[in-house]
Amino acid sequence: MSATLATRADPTTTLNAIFLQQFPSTAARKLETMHARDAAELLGEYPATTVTPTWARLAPGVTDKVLPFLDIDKAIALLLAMDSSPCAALLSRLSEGKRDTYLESLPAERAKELRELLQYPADTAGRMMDTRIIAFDRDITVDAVIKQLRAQKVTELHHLFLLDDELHLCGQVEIQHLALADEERSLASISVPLRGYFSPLDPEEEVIATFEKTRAGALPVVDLDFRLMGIIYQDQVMEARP
Amino acid sequence: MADRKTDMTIAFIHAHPQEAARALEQLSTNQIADLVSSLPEAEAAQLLGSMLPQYAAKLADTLATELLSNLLAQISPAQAVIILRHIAPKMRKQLVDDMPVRAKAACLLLLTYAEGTVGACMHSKAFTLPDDCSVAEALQRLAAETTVHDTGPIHVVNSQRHVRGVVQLSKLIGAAGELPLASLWDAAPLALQGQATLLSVRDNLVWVSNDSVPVLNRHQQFVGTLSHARLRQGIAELATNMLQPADSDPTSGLTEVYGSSMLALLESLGEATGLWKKKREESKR
Repeated sequence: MSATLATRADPTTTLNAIFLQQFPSTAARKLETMHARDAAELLGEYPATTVTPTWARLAPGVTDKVLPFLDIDKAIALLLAMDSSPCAALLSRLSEGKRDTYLESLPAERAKELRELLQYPADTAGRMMDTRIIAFDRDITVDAVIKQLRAQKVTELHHLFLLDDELHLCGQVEIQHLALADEERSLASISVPLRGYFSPLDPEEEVIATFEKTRAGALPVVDLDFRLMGIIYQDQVMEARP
Repeated sequence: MADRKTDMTIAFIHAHPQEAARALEQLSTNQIADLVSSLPEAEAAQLLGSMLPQYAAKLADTLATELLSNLLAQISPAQAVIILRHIAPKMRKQLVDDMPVRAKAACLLLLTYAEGTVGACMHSKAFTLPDDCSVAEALQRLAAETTVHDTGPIHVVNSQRHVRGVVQLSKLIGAAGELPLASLWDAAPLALQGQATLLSVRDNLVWVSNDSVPVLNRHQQFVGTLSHARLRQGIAELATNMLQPADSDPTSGLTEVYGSSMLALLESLGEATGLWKKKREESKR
């Protein structure tokens, strides 16, 4: 433990700083149970360097909600600490107005790189995907998921994707399995393999062909590191067909 | 906000109690007391039980006696007794007296080593280091410790308080700060059992090459050290005390333990009878 941490006045602040810095996965799971505003307020108490390891392990759906509650300097510091690909994925899930605010506050070089990553050609999976995603760590329990969904006021849920500690997509849970499973079971224990996935640059024809082949209701879009970027819904794709 | 911060700290203590305790040990006693008193009792007790005893014992100076007594009663008696041995006798007695009957009986039994045994003679406030710290952290802990007078080897213990090795102060001072303590420690000498009599360990070969030896309890946990000088002194006292002073009462300690044990037994019987009666009434209905 560093001397700086040891001399802080408030012991909870000291312990939480160590928690955020040295045990980011557990700290992220705890933050995910909080309201986005509370999580942002808590993260706002610490320097970006302390918060970054935990921030990098927060589920994508959570970072989207927490980021707007952070003051702009802290938000920019965290965005700068992220790798380009997850950072672009996070920005892509924000509203256009918010996304532009952050891009304008980032250093020009970084903003340019992110803008390029955010632009997908027409008729590709990247353009078709819905970036509002709900994903959970595979080790959390059914009970904890249901509580979090209620806290997030999720009214409709058709898919639930699972992430490992590094936030790589690693499976999915059928909603009926979630509803019927014992509360103590982990999501991993009731998960099924992915039925398919897309890269954001996959052409529209390939997307349609995959849906016809798999008969899935929704399929994920992942980046090169297999991190979840968005979801494409079968009904929307079929409705949009000429 | 304070609640959220405390929630986060509680999550840390739940998930990583040893690491939380290691971090806390490096704060001032007042800061530790502030935190412990702000936590729910279950988490506070978990934290107390995970701390090295010399740090947990310091809370006796700052924490309300009733609270500390409650917390000690919630951890295992063997752990509680290791902490209690680091506390001054008068305060220790008060803490034990304030415990619920069962915990009190268990602690009294474990605290009372018979006269002439290693446990009764050992140095119970021996300074220890956690096995997962670095050289820099070990030196920081030593510097913060005002009660280390011994320059002999320092015992290194794991989270279960089992001895992992001994580290020489000279080696510690000369080593690079970032090195793990594990790279410096030597095998600990053969340990003595607290219940063993002084006479039975007098001729132990361990004294040929060691001035100070670790003492373990029945659970093989480190409870203190016995130096050869203290052993000789203890044996000499034993010889002197063969003629018992007229005003002493050698059975008083035993009576207290016996009385508390009986109370605990009666309490258990009372609970069992109550339960039996309740079940009988339920079956009648």
